[in-house]
Amino acid sequence: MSGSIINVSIDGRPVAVAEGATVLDAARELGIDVPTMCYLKDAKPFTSCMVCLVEDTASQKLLPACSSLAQDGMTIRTDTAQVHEARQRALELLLSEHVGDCEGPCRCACPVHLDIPRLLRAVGRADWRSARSIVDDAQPPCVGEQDCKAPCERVCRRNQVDAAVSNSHYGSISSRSVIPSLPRDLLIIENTGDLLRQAQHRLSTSLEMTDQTRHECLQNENCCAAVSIRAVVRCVAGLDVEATAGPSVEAFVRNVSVIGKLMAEEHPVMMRDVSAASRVVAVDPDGGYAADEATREAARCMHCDCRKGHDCALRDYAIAYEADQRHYAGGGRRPFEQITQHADILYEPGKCIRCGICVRITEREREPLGLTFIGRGFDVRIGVPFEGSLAEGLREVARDCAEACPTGALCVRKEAQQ
Amino acid sequence: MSEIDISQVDAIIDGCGTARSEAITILTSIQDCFHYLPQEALDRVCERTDCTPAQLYGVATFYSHFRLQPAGAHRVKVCIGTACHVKGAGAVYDAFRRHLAIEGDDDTDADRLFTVEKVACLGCCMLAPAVQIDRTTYGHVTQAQVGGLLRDFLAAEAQRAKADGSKVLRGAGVAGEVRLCRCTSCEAAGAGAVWEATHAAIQALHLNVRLQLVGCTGLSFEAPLLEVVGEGGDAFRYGMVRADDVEATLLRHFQPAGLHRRVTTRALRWLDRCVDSFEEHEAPFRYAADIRETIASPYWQRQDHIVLDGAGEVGPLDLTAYRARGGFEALQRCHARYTPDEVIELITASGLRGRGGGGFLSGLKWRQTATAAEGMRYLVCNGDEGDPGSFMDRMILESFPFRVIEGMAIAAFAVGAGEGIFYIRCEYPLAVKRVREAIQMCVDAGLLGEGLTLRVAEGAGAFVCGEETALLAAIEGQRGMPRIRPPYPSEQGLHGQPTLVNNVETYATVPWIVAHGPDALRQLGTPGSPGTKTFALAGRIVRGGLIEVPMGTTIREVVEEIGGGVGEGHTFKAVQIGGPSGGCIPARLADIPIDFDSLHAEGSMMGSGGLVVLDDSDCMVDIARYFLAFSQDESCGKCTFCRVGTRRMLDILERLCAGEGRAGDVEELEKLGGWVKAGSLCGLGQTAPNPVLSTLQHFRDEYEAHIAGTCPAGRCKALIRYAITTDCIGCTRCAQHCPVDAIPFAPHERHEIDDELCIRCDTCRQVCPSNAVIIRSHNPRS
Repeated sequence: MSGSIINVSIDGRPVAVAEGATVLDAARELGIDVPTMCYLKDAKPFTSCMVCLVEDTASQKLLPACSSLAQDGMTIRTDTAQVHEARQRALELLLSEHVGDCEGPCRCACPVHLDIPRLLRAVGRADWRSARSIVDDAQPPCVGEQDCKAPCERVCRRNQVDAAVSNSHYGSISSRSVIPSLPRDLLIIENTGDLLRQAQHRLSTSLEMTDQTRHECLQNENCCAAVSIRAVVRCVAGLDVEATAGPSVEAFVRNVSVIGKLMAEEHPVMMRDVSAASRVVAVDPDGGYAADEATREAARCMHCDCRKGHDCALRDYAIAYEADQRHYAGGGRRPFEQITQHADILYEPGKCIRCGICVRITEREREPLGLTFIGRGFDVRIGVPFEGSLAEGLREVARDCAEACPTGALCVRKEAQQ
Repeated sequence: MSEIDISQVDAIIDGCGTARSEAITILTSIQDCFHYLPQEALDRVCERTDCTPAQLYGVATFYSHFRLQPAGAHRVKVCIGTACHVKGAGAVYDAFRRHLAIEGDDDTDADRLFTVEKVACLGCCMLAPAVQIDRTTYGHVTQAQVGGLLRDFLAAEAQRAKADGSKVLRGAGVAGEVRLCRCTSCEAAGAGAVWEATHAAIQALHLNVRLQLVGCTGLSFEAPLLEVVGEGGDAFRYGMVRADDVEATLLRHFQPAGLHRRVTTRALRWLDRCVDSFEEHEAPFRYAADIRETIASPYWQRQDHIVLDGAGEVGPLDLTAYRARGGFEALQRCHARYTPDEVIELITASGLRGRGGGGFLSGLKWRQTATAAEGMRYLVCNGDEGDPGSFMDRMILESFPFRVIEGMAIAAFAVGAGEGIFYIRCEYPLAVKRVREAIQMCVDAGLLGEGLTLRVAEGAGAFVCGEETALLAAIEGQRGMPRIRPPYPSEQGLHGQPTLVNNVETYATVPWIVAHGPDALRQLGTPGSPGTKTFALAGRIVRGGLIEVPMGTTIREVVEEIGGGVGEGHTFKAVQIGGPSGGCIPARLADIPIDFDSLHAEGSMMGSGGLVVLDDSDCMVDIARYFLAFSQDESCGKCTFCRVGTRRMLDILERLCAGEGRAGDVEELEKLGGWVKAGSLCGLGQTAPNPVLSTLQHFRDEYEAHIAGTCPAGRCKALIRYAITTDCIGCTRCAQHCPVDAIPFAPHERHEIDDELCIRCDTCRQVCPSNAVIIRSHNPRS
C-alpha cells in the first residue's frame, strides 16, 4: 500500500504526490504559495500557527495544509475568501498578543521613513558608508536640514528616560560635515549590482507591497532598476497615499506601535547595553556634530526597532493579508521583556508565537538542556527547563534557532556588519 | 528550602522504570511523596531515566496536578465545576482564602497547613458546592461553614491516625443486611460517618446484621442512602441519613440482644442530644426538612439500566456477585462461540455510538483498528472525564469496575489487542483504586484470557487529555497536546501502533450487547442513537444524580419527571448539556428528544453527558463566560485559534459581565466564535465556542441587556447592588456573617449595607430569615 500515488487537485490544478505527502507538499509541487510559520522542514508537523489553512471543497472545512495528509480525490482551494479571511484572523490573533514594534517610533514619525535606528547604529560603529546608503535610501524627498522638523525626536522613547537622541543631525547626513574626512568614493555606490540588490531588498521589505506585486517586481530586474523604488518611497512619505492600492504606510505606522509609552519597569530593559550618557552637545553648534560626537550620541539609541524587522514572517504575512493589529487588541499589554543571558542571541518572549520550532531544533540536535514549552493555554511560553539561563539552554544551536524563528522572538544580537 | 531524602526518589524510579513514557507516573509518585516536585528530585529523575529536562519540565508545568513550590500539609480543592459554579463555589473559594488569610498570588496559609486551589470538577455535582481536602470530599459547603469544615477535617485526621484498619463485619447466620455506597459523592454527603456509625451500632447493639458496601444507586440527591434488608428480604431505603440517625433506623428493623441494652442506649442517646443542642453547631452538610423522604417513583420509571445494572445491590468489588448476575458470561461466549470478526459484526449491527461525546460508530472504529497494519495493538479506556458537571464515568468506574473490564476484554478479543490501559483522571482516586483492585481480582480468577494485560494510567489534571490524541500523548509521558487526525489512533495510536480508544460507558455497554444481541440494543433508544445513555443530572433541580435513560427521552421528561423540576418559586429556564463542548437548550425546546443528532441540530452536543439544569436566577452570559473561562484555562495552548481566540472571546464576555460592553461586542463574539470553531486543531477548540454560540442563539436579549448595563438574572456582580428592605427584623444575622463587615451591627433595627465595602458574595441574602435582602439592578454607567 505504501508508495502509492495520490491524486489531488489544488485551485483546480491536478497534482500527483506520493502517499504520506501533505497538502502543503502538493501545493508547493504546483508552485502555489501557502504561508507557513510553524512549519519546519524535515520535522514532524506541529500545526500551531494556523496561517496555512486551506479549504477542502467537499466538506467546506478548513484544514491546516502543513499537516493534513493529501488523500486521493481531494479538492483543495487556497484562494477563496474564506481562506483569506481565516489566515487574516489567525494573524490578527497572533498580533493581538504581540509585544514589540517592527519599527522604532522615530522611523514611523519620519516623513521619509528614514531608517533612523539602523542609521544610528551604523554611525555608532563609525560605519559611514552604510550610514550614507541608509540616508540615500530614504530619498526623495531628502529633506534639507532646514526643512527637517525632527518629528523623530519628539516621539523618541529616550524622552521617557532622559532626553531624546539627537537625530536631526543625521536626518540630513548626506550634506553634513559629519563625514568630511571620508574619501568621496566611499560615499557613492557605483556598482549597479549593489544598487539592484538594494532595490530588490527594499522592494522585498517595503511595507505596502502585496505579495503579487512584490513577486512581479522581484522577477523583473528592469522594474527594480528603473527606480520605481522612489515611487514607493513617495508613497511611504505619504505624498501619494490615495493612489496606493495596499494599506498606506500611515495606516501601517498607526497600527504598528504596540509598545506605545514605556512602562516604568521597562526602562531598565530598554536601557540595557545602551549608553546612559546625557545628550551630546555639539562643540560647534552651527556646524553640527563632529564624527566622534555623532558616534557617542548614536550610542544612546535604545534600539526600539525589531532586530528582525526585515526578516519576519509574521510581518510579511500581516502585510500581505492586511491583518489589523488592533482588531482583537484587548485592554492592556504584557510588559516588554528581553532576555539577554546569551552572548549571541536575544530572546524577546513577547514576540513569540509558540510555534515550537526552536524547541524542535534543540530536541533534534540533542542540546543537553535545550528549550521547552512551559505551562499551558494562553500563558504557555518557551523557556529553558527549570528556568535555567538561555546560555545554558542554547549551547550549540542558538544561531540556528534565531535564524529559524519566524518572528523577532529569537534574534541575533548584533546586526551583521558589512 | 528543606533537603529531601533522595533515596525515596530512587525507590520511586526503581518502581516505575526509566522509560520516557513513565514521566507522568514518576512525577505523580514524587508529588504524592513530597506534596510537590522538589528540584533535587527532578534532577535525579533526569540523571537516572531517559526523561530529558525539556520533557520533564514541560510535563511538570503542563498538568495542573503538579506543583513546583512546596504546598501546605493539606490541599483544599474547591470544585468550580458547573453545578458548583451556579451554587456559589467562587464565593466559597474566596471564603477559604479569607479564613486562612491567604493574599495575593499565594495559595498557602502562613502556617503552611492548608493550600487552597480550584479544581475543574470533583464529579459531585449534586452536592454542590463540593470541596475536597486531601482525599476527603465535603458536599453542600457554604461560606459560613468554612472554618468549621477545616476544624472537622483536622479532627477527623487525628481520629484517622488512631483508627484501626479493619472495617468490614462479616458474621455467620446473619439476619439481615445493611447496604451503603461509599463512592466519592456519597462520601461527600457523609457516607463515611454513616458507615462508621453503622459499624459501631451493629457492634454496640450486637445486631446480627451484615454491613455491605454496594455500587452507587446514582441517587445523589438522597445520599447517603442506607438500604436495610430485613430477614424476610424486604428492602427499605433511607435517604440523607445522618450518623446519629443510624441507630434508630437499625432498631426499627432489628432487635438488639437484650431489652436492658436497648433501654440504656436510648437513654444515653437522649442525653447526648441534650448536651449537643447547647452548642452552636453548624454541620458541614445540609439536610432536607424531611429526611425520611421516600424515593419518588418517577425517578426510576423513566430509567432503563444497562450500564448501571445492579446499582445499590452489588458490591463494587464483589466479583462473585457480579458473576452471579451473569457477569463475564458475555466474554466467555465471545471466546467460545465467536470469531473476533463476528464480535465486531455484532457491535456494528447494534448501532452503538461512542458515549464520549462525538457519537462515532463504535463498530466502525473497532473494524478500523482490527484491520490496521500488523503488530502490537493497544486498547485504551478514556476515563478522563474532565467536563465540569459530569460524573457518569466516575460512578461507573467506582461502582461497576468489572463491567468496564469485561467490555475491554471483549474489545481486546475483537481487535486483537495485547495491552489495555485505563486512563483515569487523578481527581478520581477511588475510581483508580477500585479499578486497580478489580483488575487484580480478574487476573487472579483467570478471567481476562491469554495474552491480555490491563493497567491503570493516572491523569494529572488536564481536560484536553479527554481528546484522544492528547490522551495518548499523556500515556506516552508527554505534554497532552493534541495532534492532527488523520492518522487516527486506530491506524497510528499509542507508540505509533493501532489503538482502540473508547469511553468508559461505551465499554460498559458492550457486555450487555453481547449477552442480549444487537437487536436488543436497537429496541431501546432511537434509530439513529440506539441504546441508553447515562447523564449526570445536576444544577437547579430537586432530584439530581446519575441516571440512565433510553436515547430519545425528552429533556422535559428528564428535568420534570425524573428530576422533579426546579425548586419551588423558580422557573425552568434552560439545560446545559455536554459541558464546555455543549450548549444551552432553552426550556421552550425542552420537548426535543435527547440523542446525538437532535442535540447537534440545536447547537449543543451530547458531550459525555453532563446535564445541568438552570433556572431564572441564572444569567446566561455568566454561564457562557464560565464555560469559556474553563475551556480557555484548559486549552493546551498549541494552536492560535484556541490559545488566543478563546482568550479574546473571554475578554469580550468579561467586559459584558463587568458592565463594560460596547456596541458591536455581541456581533464580534459571534464572528470570532465561528472562526475558533472552524480554525482550531482539536475537539476542544472546535467546540469551545458552543456554550457562547448557543446562548447567543437562544438568549441574545440577555447579551443585549448586558451591553445596556443590566443583568436580567441579577447575577453579574458589577451590575447589581444588595439592599435590605423594611422586612428586616433586626436579627443581626447578616451583620454577623458578612465577611467584609459591610453591614453595621444594629440589633432590632433595619440593617443597611455599605455598598462601597460590599463584595456581593450573597451571604447576607442566604442567611436572612425574613428574605429582607434583595438584589437591585445597578447600571454602572447611569
